[in-house]
Amino acid sequence: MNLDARGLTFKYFENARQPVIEDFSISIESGKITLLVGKSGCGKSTLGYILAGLYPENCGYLTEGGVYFGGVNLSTFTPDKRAACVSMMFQNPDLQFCMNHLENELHFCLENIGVPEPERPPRIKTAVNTLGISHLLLRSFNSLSGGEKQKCALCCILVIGAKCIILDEAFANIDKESAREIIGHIKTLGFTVLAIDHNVALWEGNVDRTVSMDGTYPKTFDFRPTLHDTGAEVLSVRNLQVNGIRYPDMVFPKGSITAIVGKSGSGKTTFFRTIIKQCKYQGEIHFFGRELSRWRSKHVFAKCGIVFQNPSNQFLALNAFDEVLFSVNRWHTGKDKATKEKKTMELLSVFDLERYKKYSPYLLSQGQQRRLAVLTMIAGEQELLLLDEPTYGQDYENIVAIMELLLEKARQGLTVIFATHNETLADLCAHQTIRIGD
Amino acid sequence: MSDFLFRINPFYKFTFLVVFATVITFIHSFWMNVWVFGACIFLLLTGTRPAQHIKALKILIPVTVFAVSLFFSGLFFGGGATGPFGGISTASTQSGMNMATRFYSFVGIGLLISLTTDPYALVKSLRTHAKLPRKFAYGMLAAIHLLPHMKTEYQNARLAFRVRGVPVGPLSLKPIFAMLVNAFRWSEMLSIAMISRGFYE
Repeated sequence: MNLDARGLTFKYFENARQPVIEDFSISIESGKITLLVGKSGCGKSTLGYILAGLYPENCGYLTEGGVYFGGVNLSTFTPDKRAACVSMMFQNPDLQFCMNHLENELHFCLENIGVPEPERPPRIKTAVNTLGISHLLLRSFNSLSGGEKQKCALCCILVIGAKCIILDEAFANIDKESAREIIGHIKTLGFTVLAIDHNVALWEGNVDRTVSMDGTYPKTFDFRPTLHDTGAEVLSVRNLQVNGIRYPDMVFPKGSITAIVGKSGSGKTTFFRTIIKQCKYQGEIHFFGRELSRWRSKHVFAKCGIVFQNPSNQFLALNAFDEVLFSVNRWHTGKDKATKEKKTMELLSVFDLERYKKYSPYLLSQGQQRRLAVLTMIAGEQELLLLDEPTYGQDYENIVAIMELLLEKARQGLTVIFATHNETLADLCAHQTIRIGD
Repeated sequence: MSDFLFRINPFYKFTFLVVFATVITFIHSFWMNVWVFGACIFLLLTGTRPAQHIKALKILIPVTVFAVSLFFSGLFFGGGATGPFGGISTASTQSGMNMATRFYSFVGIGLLISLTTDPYALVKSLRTHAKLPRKFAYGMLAAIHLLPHMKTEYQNARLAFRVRGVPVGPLSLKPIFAMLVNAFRWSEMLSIAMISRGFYE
């Protein structure tokens, strides 16, 4: 059965002047995979939530239009009946489960749709066997990788018997192999799918139709910057082993850009945490001419900045302007207030964030938060910058803007190391690509 | 034998210990406190595995610090005493001993429940036997599921602040604020994920 949205107009606040979605219609054909694209912040995720029936029931106002599943208005369904028609896979695999392991979660799903207890075990067995994940049934969710968690999420949808799945950047922070395996399962099982994804390449060969929400389509990644020459070594790693993970020997010259690639859980984040002295290690790390263990943490932080995978826990101020100003104040103590404020506005304009200057950093989208976090670090004068997935959740223009800024800073002497799942980006924009976890 | 406490129906165990703790609240007896605590420790030693013994020991270290402070509070200010240098008597010593052992007895009961009960099994049992509404049962489980994330997120927030040159002490509020803001977002995302899987009251 088709899932149709007709003439949707949606606002988050009743008195908002501008709706997030205005008079938008889409038809998702039964048994087909439809890819939804558009610029970052154009309302794709919001549309996904409306199509899954989660909005406006839980947030916002649908002032016009409606969503129809097989011709029946979705708002007339109770959540259990609706779940059996449309379900959703979310961005963050950690925040999809309320139980401790998959078996309990599947019981929870079946209880929701009113399946009696004796009928549940065979249904659970069929679902896990279909996806080949029976070994995950009793493993704690905390011990699973991102890819395994998303397979569990798909298993929940399968056990409920939903016909249609909305995927909201569901593969943004898992490795390509796991994502492709899940896409393969979705295709084989014949689900009706609406996939919201910036990474179009991931869906190549599996998509039946691509729809743009704002008329823009993703370009093939062809940003090919001219890479400059690099300087002397600032950081080097030999025979490094952290928490049982063995790393290859690495050398990072001054002004270089290095991409770290590898599967989810291969140790990219652990490597960054080791560099900022948060993990015990065996082997040698030469950090600006001295062994890392001989540096005090606060001196390491003066030399090295980091943008975390979840940028929202590194904000200090109540609005985006103050957030950047805080870093500017810290690093440019001698300058007057007007100069610092001018510098702050210049930095915000680099990523088109000046119109959000009065917004709380927590109210910005994931992509905007990440760009703001990059700015707070770029504003400083650290000599080494570590970025964990800086381009996650960004559209093409913003990926290019972030990489251009990093390249400009690298030309001025900043050494950049970034972790990414986007190997094309790594190949085109980095002086060297290091694969870990092989 | 070594895990018989785990096999008792969680609802019966929980109800019995809560009722028992409520009853002893009204009885002021040093020897009863000692017996209750002794019995709890005996049951923990015989009815749980070594991993639980170590957990219990780790909890009992700060508990002992509190118990000693309670003892001295009673000694110096209970039973007619007026401070460290005046009026310490048999009555004030007894008051101190009562307060300290009372604290131990409640901790013992708490340890018996927390170290021998799987929260998921307890909530399931409460649903079956006490007809606990689904909203509360699964709400509690979702909150339990979020706890390890909150701990990690708090540590990450502290680290992020230090990276930005903001000194954070053990009692700094800023990382707690960052963690709480995230916790609100998570609870919202988790509840939406639950609804998308058909959960409703």
